[in-house]
Amino acid sequence: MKGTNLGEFEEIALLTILVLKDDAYGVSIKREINEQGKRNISRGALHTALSRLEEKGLLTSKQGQGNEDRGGRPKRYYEVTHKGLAALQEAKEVRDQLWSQVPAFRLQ
Amino acid sequence: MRITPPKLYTRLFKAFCKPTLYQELQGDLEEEFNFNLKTLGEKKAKAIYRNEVLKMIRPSVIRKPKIMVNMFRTSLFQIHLKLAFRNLWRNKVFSAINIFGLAAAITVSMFALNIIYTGLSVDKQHPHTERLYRVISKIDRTNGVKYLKASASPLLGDKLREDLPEIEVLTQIRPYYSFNEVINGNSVSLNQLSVDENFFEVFQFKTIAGDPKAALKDRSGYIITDELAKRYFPNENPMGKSFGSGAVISAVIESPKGISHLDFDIIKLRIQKPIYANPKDYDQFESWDFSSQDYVYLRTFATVSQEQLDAKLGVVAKDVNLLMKEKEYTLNYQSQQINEIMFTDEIYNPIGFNAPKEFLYILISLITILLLLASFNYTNLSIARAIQRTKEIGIRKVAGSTKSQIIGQILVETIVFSIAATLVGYLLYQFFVPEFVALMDTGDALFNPNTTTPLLLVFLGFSVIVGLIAGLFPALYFSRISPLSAFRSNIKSKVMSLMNIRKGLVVIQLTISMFCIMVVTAGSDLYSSILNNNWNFEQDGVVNLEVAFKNRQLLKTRFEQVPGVVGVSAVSSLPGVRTMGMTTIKRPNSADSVFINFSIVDSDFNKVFKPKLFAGNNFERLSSDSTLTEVWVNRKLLSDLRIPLDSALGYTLSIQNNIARYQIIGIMEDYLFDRLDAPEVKPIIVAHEKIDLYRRSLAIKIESQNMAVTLNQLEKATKEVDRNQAFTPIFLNDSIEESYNGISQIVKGFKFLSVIIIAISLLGQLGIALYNAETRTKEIGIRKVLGARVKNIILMLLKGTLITLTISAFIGAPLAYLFLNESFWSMTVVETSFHGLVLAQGILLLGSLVVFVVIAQTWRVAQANPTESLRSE
Repeated sequence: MKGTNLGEFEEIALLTILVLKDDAYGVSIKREINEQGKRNISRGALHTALSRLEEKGLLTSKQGQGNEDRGGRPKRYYEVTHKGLAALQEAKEVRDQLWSQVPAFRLQ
Repeated sequence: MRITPPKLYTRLFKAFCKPTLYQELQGDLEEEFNFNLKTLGEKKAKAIYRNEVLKMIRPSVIRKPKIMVNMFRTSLFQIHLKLAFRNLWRNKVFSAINIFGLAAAITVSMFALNIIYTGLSVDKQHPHTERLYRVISKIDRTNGVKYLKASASPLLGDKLREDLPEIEVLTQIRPYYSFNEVINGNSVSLNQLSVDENFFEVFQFKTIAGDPKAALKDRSGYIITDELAKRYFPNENPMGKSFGSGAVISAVIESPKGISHLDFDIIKLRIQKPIYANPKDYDQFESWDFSSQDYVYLRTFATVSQEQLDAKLGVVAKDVNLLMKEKEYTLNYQSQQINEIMFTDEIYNPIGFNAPKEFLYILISLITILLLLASFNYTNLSIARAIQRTKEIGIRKVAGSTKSQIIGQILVETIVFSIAATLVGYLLYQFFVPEFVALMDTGDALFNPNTTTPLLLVFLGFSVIVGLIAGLFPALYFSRISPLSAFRSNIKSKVMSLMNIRKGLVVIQLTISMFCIMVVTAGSDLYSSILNNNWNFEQDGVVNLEVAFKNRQLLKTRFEQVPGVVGVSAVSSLPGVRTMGMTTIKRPNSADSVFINFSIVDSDFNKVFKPKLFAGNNFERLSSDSTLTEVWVNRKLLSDLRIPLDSALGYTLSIQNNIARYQIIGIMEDYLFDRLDAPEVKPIIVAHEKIDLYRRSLAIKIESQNMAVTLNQLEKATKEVDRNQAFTPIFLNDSIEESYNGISQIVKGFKFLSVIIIAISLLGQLGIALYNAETRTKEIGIRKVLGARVKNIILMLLKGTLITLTISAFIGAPLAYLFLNESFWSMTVVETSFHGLVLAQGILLLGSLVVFVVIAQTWRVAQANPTESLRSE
């Protein structure tokens, strides 16, 4: 199904949001990805990815409270939709299937 | 203190970020910054922040520019247009002031634009103008002086044709200015181009009659311009008509004015081997050393670049340097594209019309200054109305207008103003075109009196640009108004700072007006002191007559017999007008030579002109020694040659390359042959020459009674001697006046400009005075109730004006002084009025004008019955 194919970065972003449960907003997502994935992405790049995922319907977002650290500006919390979960599942299945078919000696 | 993220980057981010995303993204950036601040320190946190902001520049974040889209949404545009007209109508006086101020500026700009446009569009009609070049000479003197010369040696054409296969076609031109011809019995002075057969291969002018190419081959044929044809053969076919010299008109082409930098009335085929009176002259003038008369134009083949051409010309120049006898300079040839000729860098010995590049810049700055002045009026009056407008804008904002829509509205409004002003300006322009052409006198080639469609488009585009510029400041100001502050009662503070800007603009306006009026008074003063100069000879009752060489002696004897004629003198040039030419004289006992002006007169000179001599004798009769010529000199020449005054009489000078000796028999007072528009008195020599080679005219002194009768008899006498001799006598006074036409034209031009500039400033003053009086009606009413008299009130209202006038006088006067010292005052040898007086005159004149305008405006308000203005309170 075209459109639900996930890119590598998109997949990581979705998974990170799932990991973060209720605390998935810009800064926390970015920090998590940078720590876990040992990479350094910018907030701008993350924004592009998140907005694209939202456009595809794999994510929803809602505005939350601000705090003093942010100059009182509201956060935007992200949540993975059913469609997003399904896309992740599909991606995982494809990978698992491929993994299972790789001859064992090739992996040594 | 709390450390905040770099402000500049925050603002940058706010500027480019989509407004809907800004809050959350900026929040994220700030949170991260604060986190980094704690963990990594200030420096690193800020660096990361900056980096993050820059990385935000991506399509998903950047807002889309919307201003243009909004401005041209048609329904909105229609509303803006409607509002503009309503505003224009509601404030009739302000609109009129704005429109007429702008119209005045636009009128002048139209003339300047016409000149620029015409100047930039000349020489486009020739075939392949992009490959058309003029060859110019670069002179490098051994004493280090370098300059460019537009002309080249007469031999260059043939050499280039031979040596350069890159040339498709080449033509060589020799102009003769003030070439005398007789047409229909009138003696006229024409510009003639002597050309070769290729002229029409290189240049193209529209044919009106005949076949110019074929006509060139006909040696006795002239090709004339349609302008000349119209002037002298108004209702007849000029073809086949002959001139006094016997040449026949064999073709008519369009006049080059406004079309080409070349300037000519007639074109004729050049004589292959010119004949000179003195065979030695042939060797001198037709050589590599002589490069003052001929101009080379060529077209290259399409494959040849200008660099290649220049390289080849450099090689030719090396050959030529070897061929030259004179070693005082080295020569290099260079090509100049034909479209670069009109507004060229400084070049010596130019041909036809061209204006220095500075002229172009002057015109452009003129336009800029005038428009700035006129836009100041607009800005000023808008600011003056700011309070009223603020509420209007506030309401619009509350109703949902965005910033860009407000900007759009104000700009549409100003463009409506400027287009209205352009229409008025265009009418004025049309009205002044004949005046302007008359003012330019010589029919300056750079001005096109007919309005063409492209020119109209230039004007229209220009008026839109003017509107945009004039409206920019008010538009930006109004768009910034927040609806909240618009309805607060204390909007004073913001308006006050605006008032300061307004005052500044008024000062600038008045300073420029002050400057102009001073320059005009100084210029007029200079011109009148030149005309009223005390010449050291008698110029009244002297007429000058150009005569053909063969008739001169006969006519002179014949005229002397006419009753009422005091004397007749054959002179090379008229005293008071100019000297005949220049030559060099070696300084005695020294190697260097001095440039001197010289003129030739005959024995009757003092009978006609009664010149005042400082010392020595009049010319009596020709000396018997054939190599000795008697001369008068002026004191400047003696001091330049370091000859002491008391031993000067009887001293013998020798002019370079000339065996003749010149003996000083008289020392002239100044102001005889001098030009007055020179920075200093020049050395002059007046020779009583016996060799009759020079062109001379007859100066006839007539008794003041029955002048008309005498002139009639002179004409009769002329026709008796030679029926074909034209009789067009010109009074010496007129000749002198005409020779200073240049100054008069400059002064006239400045006058015209000043009238416009001052009118604009006065209109501005009028508007401000009107506004002041209107807004202070109540204050005035109260003052009157409390006992103030009309005089006090007017003084109160005048105070501000007087202060601005004083400030502008203090800035304008020194500027004008510096300018005049560089220009008018250093231009003349005549004593002009006391300089400070001239400046004071200017200040007084402008000051009284401004005060008059302000008083006239405030008078009504000051007179008003206080019960009227206070009734509603």
